[in-house]
Amino acid sequence: MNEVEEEKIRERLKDKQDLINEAMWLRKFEDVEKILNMPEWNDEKNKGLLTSRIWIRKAEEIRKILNMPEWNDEKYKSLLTPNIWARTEKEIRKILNMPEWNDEKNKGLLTSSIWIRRAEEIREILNMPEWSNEKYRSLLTPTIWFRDEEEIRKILNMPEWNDEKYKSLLKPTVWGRNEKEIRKILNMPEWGDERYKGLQTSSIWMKKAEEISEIMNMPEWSNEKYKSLLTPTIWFRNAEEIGEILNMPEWRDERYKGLLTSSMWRNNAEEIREILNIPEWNEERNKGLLTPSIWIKSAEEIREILNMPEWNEERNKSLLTPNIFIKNAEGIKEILNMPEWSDARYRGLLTSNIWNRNAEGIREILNMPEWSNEKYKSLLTPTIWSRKAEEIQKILNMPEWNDEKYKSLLTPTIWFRSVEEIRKILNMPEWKDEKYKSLLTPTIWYRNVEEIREILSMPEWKDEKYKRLLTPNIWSRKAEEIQKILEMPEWKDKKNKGLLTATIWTGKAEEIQKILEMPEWKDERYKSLLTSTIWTRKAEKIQEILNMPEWNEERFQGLLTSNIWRKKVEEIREILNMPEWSDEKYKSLLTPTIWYGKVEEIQGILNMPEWNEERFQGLLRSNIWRRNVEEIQEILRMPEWEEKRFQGLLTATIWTRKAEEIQKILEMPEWEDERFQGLLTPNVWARNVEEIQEILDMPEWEDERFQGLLTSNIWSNNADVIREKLNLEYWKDDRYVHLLKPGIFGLKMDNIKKGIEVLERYGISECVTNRCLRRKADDLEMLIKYMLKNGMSLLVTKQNGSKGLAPILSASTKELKENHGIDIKKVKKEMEGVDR
Amino acid sequence: MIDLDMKEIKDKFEESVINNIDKQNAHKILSFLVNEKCDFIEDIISDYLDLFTFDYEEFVNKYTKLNEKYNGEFLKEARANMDLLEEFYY
Repeated sequence: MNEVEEEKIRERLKDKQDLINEAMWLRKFEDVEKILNMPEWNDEKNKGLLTSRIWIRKAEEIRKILNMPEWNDEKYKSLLTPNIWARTEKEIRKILNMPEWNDEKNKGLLTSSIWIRRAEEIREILNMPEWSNEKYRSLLTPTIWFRDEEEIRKILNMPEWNDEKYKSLLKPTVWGRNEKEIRKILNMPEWGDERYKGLQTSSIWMKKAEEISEIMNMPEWSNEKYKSLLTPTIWFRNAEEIGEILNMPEWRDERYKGLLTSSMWRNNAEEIREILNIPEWNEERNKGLLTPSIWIKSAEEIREILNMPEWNEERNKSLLTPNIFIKNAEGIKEILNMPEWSDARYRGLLTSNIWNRNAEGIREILNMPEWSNEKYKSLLTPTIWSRKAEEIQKILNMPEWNDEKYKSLLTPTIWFRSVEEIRKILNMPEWKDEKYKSLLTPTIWYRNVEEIREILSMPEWKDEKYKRLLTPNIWSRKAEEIQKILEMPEWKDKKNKGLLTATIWTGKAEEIQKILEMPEWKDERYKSLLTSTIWTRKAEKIQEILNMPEWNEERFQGLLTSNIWRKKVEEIREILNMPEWSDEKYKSLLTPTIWYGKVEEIQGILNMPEWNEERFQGLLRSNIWRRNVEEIQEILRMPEWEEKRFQGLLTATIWTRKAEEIQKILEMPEWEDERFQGLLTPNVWARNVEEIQEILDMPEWEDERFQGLLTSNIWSNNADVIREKLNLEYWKDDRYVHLLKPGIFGLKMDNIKKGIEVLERYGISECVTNRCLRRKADDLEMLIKYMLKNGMSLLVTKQNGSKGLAPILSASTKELKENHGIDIKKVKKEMEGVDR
Repeated sequence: MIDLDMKEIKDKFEESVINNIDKQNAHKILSFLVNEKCDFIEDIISDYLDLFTFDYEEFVNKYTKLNEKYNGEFLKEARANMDLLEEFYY
């Protein structure tokens, strides 16, 4: 071209500078004009093809290629990329019509990168015998076109792939490098450094050996705070970029500290800076979104999401969580504006884990016919978004749910697992073992088969002190964590035994360690607070609670007990600073049970007008904190309190029961039965309605011998205990029938038996009293031996002429000392010496 | 200071009894007994722990009736013969 022609072209292409290259200047002016003026560029499918690579071809060739009928075929459309200019029309046709494309294994290889190679080369590669070897099949991907047949063979036959540590690197990305380069990379001495071992993954092939070396030898890696950034994603960047990113002043900003993670390597310094400086991070509602999840989006995309008007709607606010960045603005909008959310049945499902699905998938799930089946309704909870509709259906229709022993496992946590996993778990042989049966509960779905097996086979379960930790909440922890916790040396110390309960699984090993090492436990005031309830809190928060100045006030000191761990610092402070505690009439309510309540509730309760009524005044006691205002009012307003027979039940012990239960208890028809009327005392609140029913239904009450035992003391025991006592063989023996008094229920069978046995040994059992059975059998025997040793009679003759136990055997310790000259402690020592 | 053998208590009384004891209620009963000049409280706790499962009001009512029955000397009588405490359970 001459200068004038050159100028014309430059003018024409002033807005398309990227089309200009050396190859273009080698073409004749007429040819360039011809190419630029081709009507084919008006066709949408050809627009992306007008790039600087086109100048290899003449106008006629270009026209022939663009007008090939093959481009009307759907399967070839994606091949129309600028790469195509590397080949002639004849070549292109040859390649597209190769019979090798009929072979299933080759189908995925017909992509636009194929134009790098000529037809012969492609044929050579596709027909390499190596592809019949299973271990190479996965390498047949489009990236293979970067290499010729000779190169491919050399790479595949490198002896390095026999080395276990390199096997995993033989992935399709390897075609980005030639054999020499690959060998150089694999043999770099840097791989001996522990810090870099995790970086040897197949993504390494994106880089040349020099680049890899430069990155690994950056001085920044000696700094502890950057070590965690050394992950394979680092290969997206070069050393210069990495240096620029690590030294950005933005990392000094407190808000961004948690963002310095390896996921940021997807972005260059400019992109990272742009993201960090989004003004929207200054808005309160967006602050919680500043997590590493932002790195998968560009600044523009993030802003689009953050500025959606949908976030102004109350119901959507809680959905603005870090996982939102897996979606784009359009997808988010589509989901939030689904009309289904107006339906009351689905409203509770609009939670942040919905971002795992798209609108279509959500709709498919919501419209499943299974939800009309009563037994599946409770499964429609937010956890369902972890599964696709197809899988949900497969899970719901598993025949296993017809089996009685698995029915209770069909709960919302099931959505954490796939059909295959669920089946594998249910069929584990471990469930046949008695000691593991109770672990098959819905929490099991937190773990997969391998993890469950690993946990169950841990040798620690043979150790007595760990056995009781094998409870269903163990499934909230991974095997590794469990191992760490069980191996903590602190458990060797006997004083920590009480801390080893199943609640320990709420905490992580690291946190548990921190808590146990807190210096506060040396302080006498805090020792009793180190109980197993503490595992629900973090060390930092525990320290904050213990160091609250409020504990210096006498009125609050009794509140520092282990149930304080239910509460957050802010809540504790709010409760303690309530003005109500200055009022004398509320002071007695300041007991540790207050930690069951919330501030608003506590205030609401204290200010209830009901406390002005005389009949309710005695009910304002500290166990009221277990109930809320609504419940208390419901209870106090029950019409049953108008009935005289129920009025005595209105005492503070009522707060152990919920309103619904109290109603059921008061409505029991059994209270019409004369035998049971005397049982209507406040003690009844110690039992729930089922227990009361069970006790009152016992056929034993038909037996005359037992009717005198029907007193309110019965409520201190459950039906099993009562049944056990009533069926003691002793009651068939006339010598012992007099022991059938209501107080017998509270004593353990063993104590009763041993007490009677002691008296039988000394031939005085027919005079046994209930008081005797309340002594420890050993102490009773010791006292008898002492009496015999000192010539004291074990029996006395009563006024009515019958024999009875000597008063010494029924007296209190104080009475023995003052009126009988018997010091029980000294007697014990003395008799222990005699026995020896 | 009351000296208790917890192991002995656990060996002697049913778990349902021990679990049923409300600390505040028990404390009130103890205070009541102290006010009534009971000097064998340790024996009562050790051997008659289940008395503390009674609601305070109920305990006081029963005590009052028994005290009346024993002419205001119930605690003195029970001190000498603790079997009298069995009457509480009626």
